[in-house]
Amino acid sequence: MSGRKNIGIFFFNAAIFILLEIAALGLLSHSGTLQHQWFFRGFNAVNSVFWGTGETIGSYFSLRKQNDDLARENFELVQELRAYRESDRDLGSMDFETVGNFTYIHSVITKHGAGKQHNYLILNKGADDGVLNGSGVITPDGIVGIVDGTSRQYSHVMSFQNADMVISARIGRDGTVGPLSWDGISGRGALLKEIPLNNPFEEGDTVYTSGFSSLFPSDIPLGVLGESRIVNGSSFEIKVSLFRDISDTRYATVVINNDTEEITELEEGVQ
Amino acid sequence: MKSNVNSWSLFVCLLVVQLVISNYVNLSPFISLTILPAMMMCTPMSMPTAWVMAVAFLTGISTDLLTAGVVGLNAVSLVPVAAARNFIVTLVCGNEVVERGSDFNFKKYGALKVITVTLLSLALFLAIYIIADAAGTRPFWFNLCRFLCSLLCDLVLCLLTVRILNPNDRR
Repeated sequence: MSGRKNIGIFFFNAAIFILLEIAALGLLSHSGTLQHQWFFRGFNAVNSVFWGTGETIGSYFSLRKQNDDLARENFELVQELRAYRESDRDLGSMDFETVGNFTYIHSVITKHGAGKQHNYLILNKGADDGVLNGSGVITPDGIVGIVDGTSRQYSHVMSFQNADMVISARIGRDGTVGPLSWDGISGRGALLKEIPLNNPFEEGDTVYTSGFSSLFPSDIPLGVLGESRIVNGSSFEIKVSLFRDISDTRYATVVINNDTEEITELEEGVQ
Repeated sequence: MKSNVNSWSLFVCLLVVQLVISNYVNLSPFISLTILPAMMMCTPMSMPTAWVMAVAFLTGISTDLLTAGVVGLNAVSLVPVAAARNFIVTLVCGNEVVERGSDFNFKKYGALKVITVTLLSLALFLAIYIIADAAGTRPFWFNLCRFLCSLLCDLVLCLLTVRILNPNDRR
């Protein structure tokens, strides 16, 4: 009982102390300019520690959402850039999901298949979102793969890191065109083959999509040239260091050629 | 009863002395003269701490208002002294002083303990007073010099105050 009484007295005294000190500090702050500024600096420093810690913790738990927001914003900015390159029309009337002959759909890679010679991915956009079989999948600085199967909400993608995948690439913006494929070894390694011996190039030159394939738009940067060797005495095989490792990629864009149907009909008609 | 009235009358007189010191005695920028901590330590031990803190607050405010200083400075420094009074006395003189409600004095506890109690309370008061007065504008060495010089000078004044205020020592 006396223990409880002592505790009660202690807290009562503590409350009185805090009250009187606050009153005295208030008077001090009010009457002295130096003390007033000193208190405000101190309060701001304490506030910034508490608020800063709270913000840090909060932002840590919202990193995923921030990442998604940034990816969406990046996609929209890249679309605007594509629109600037394609046309000089009034951008206010343009639909940024369709630029030139291609329609672009922002997506998230929900599953990575890696570590094998034939790798595949799953995207979170499917037939309901407008994804078609045979659509290309890109990032602003590389090729991800080609859609080889769709369900209503998901797409199955043959990854560029697949021994069966070959795309058409060009050295520089108007240089030689050749097939580019994964080297089967590292995530950022590729090989550009069948470059004629008489065509000039230099180590460090950038490789772009050629645009000769109906699957991918032209001028998407892919990587830079590395060492080269002559194959069968007739052509160069050049190592390419890709800008992006697909296994680290979370966001990708599905590109649909709006003229695919017409091109397919033409090819079938000729055959 | 008469003894209490006499004690409180002495307390008010000493407060006037403090006002005179604050207004007219200015030895050096490194010395702040005060007898307020000793006045707080000499309040009756039987008085509850909350009351002592209230007395300290009023004493501090009175001193601030009636001197050419910053209002609140003495109050903010004196209230912690009042709050820590029982703790300091118990630390130096033991539990019986507080439990019995008897005042500490030179006769009963000796000069050394009284000096120690006075020194601790004075150090607490001066530390808060000097830091609040400087408000971050003075370098550390200046505040330290001021603290040490004031502590030495005020210790003498405070021991005189204890001698005057304590009824057992006056007999």
